[in-house]
Amino acid sequence: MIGEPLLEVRDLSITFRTPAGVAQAVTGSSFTIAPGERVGMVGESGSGKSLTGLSLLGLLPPAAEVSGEVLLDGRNLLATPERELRAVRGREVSMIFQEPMTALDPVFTVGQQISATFRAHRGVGRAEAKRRAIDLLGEVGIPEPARRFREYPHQLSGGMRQRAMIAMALVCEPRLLVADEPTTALDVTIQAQVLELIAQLSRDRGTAVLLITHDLGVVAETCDRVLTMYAGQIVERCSTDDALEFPRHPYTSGLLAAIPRPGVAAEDLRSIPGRVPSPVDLPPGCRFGPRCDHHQPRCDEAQELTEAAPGRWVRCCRHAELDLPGAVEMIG
Amino acid sequence: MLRLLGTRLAAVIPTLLFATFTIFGLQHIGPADPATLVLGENATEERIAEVREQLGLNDPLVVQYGKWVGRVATGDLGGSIIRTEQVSTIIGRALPTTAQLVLSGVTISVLIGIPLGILAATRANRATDVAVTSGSAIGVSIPNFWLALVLITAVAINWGLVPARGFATLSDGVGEAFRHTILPAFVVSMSGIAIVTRQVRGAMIEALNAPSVRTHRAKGLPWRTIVWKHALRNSAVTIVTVVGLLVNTTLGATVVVESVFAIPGMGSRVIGAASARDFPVIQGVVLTYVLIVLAINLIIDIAYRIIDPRIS
Repeated sequence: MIGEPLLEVRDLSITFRTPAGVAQAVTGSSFTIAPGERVGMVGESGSGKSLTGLSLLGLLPPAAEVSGEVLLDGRNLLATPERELRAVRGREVSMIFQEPMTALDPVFTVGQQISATFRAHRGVGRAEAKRRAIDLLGEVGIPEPARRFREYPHQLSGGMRQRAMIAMALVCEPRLLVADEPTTALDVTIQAQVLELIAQLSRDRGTAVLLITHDLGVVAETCDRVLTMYAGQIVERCSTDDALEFPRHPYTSGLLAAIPRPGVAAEDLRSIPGRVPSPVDLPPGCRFGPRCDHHQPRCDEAQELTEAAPGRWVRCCRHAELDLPGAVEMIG
Repeated sequence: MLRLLGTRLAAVIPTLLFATFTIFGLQHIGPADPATLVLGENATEERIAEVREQLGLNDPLVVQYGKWVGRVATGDLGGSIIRTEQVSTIIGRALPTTAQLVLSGVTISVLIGIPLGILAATRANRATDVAVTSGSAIGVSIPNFWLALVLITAVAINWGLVPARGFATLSDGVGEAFRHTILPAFVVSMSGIAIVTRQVRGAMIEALNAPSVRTHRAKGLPWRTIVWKHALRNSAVTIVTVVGLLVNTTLGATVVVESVFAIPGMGSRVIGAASARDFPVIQGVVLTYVLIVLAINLIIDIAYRIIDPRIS
């Protein structure tokens, strides 16, 4: 990686006090995103992906207890007062969400919602914000943008709604876009279009993207690097190509085996046996250990994220001796 | 919108028929002959026959109902038995008084209830919220007539700040109207404040927990804007419903409160008419109440469609 990172997350931990004990939602997460870089974050639901995403905008729920640092241009967002965070959100860092129907406000028009962001940060007049919003609706591929500007979210199709969300997130030209499962609620054909749109906008504008998803296939199409998360920890951090061809962590390999692909019947797809451990009762050693085919006694000690090769970080003591199947072998 | 209005108006007709039937039946469900009820047991035969004729009691029931509805439909509510006045004249005089009282009461409920509800919602389950919620539980439990008597004693008699009885409408001058309206309006608004507070609190808590609020925050909108513009607008359907229903319940509350304050409105008239068995007046006032309630419901129904773009 060349130059200073745009975003640097250092040893981020997020916990909640619950009646059952302290829930460790995210434990010791560290990663960087360079300007214009697209990074995927994959993992099952409950692995701490969404909370990590929210922390990048200082939007964690009030009950969350946070430690570590989220540095945007060296400034720690976790220690930034709410007032100043408002100037960051939507302008420096934007976020789009899984379900655009509920994420958009149902009683305001699409246009009002896009212009509001622009006006809040740029202090421009109504007319200029409207021009800008209509331009952007056109750029994200919405036909008849002037008409759509006046429509309410429920009058748009699912794909259009997500495009409108993207327009809203990008209206102030942020440097980082956090996309939390942006295609999960969409039809498969629309999914590909929306992913392509995000990738293209990122290339054209130099916007960095953190793409949060449970689907490694989505990351494969869009991202330069991938962070695999399991039970609140990053278990593998490497380039997308490396992850797909030579996964070093058994969990990443397991996720690859679960991707539907041509020529493989649904019943032949491998699912990972067992369940994600409860965040209040995590295994002391490797958190994936109880579900892992390659489990050995030494896996019951705490696992560190170690550099297996330049730019390849794995949280598995057996990474050097295992030869795990990647996506290429599975298709072949 | 016109077609909607048409279908809604058509839907009102059965309700209206049922209401008129009930109102007409009022004088026949009592244990005694209406004419005797009106005149008392010591009335002469001739006088009873005269009143029976005046009330049209000699016709078959269906014919009586038909004639009555026919007259009412043309605005002729008949004459009062006790006073030598047309019922429509009496209502015409009492209605502005009651309307002023109801609208003032509802306005107070809304102006206090909405900010209190929002305050409680934004501090849900914290001390302020608990105080507001408990306060509203007390507010809804205080009986109107008791509060009226306490306030008359304290504010009107002991402190002499406002008149203890009587009324003045806007046509008597704004200052005079205000002095006479403020106390009874506050009394009828009391349970309304509590109801509006609770409903607004509930609706706002729901609106503030909606995923779209997270989106607004992610856009960098100020919390103030999110609460007062977005969440409030998302709660508007609930608020309009509550306020609409509040007009109806406040109208009901005026019956007792007008009597306590000796206000010559619809409520005092209907109570006076009820103790005098003045059926045409009772029927006229109750029918007016029914029409007001139906009109309010119609307005709520149409307001929904203007407020929430998803309802069509």
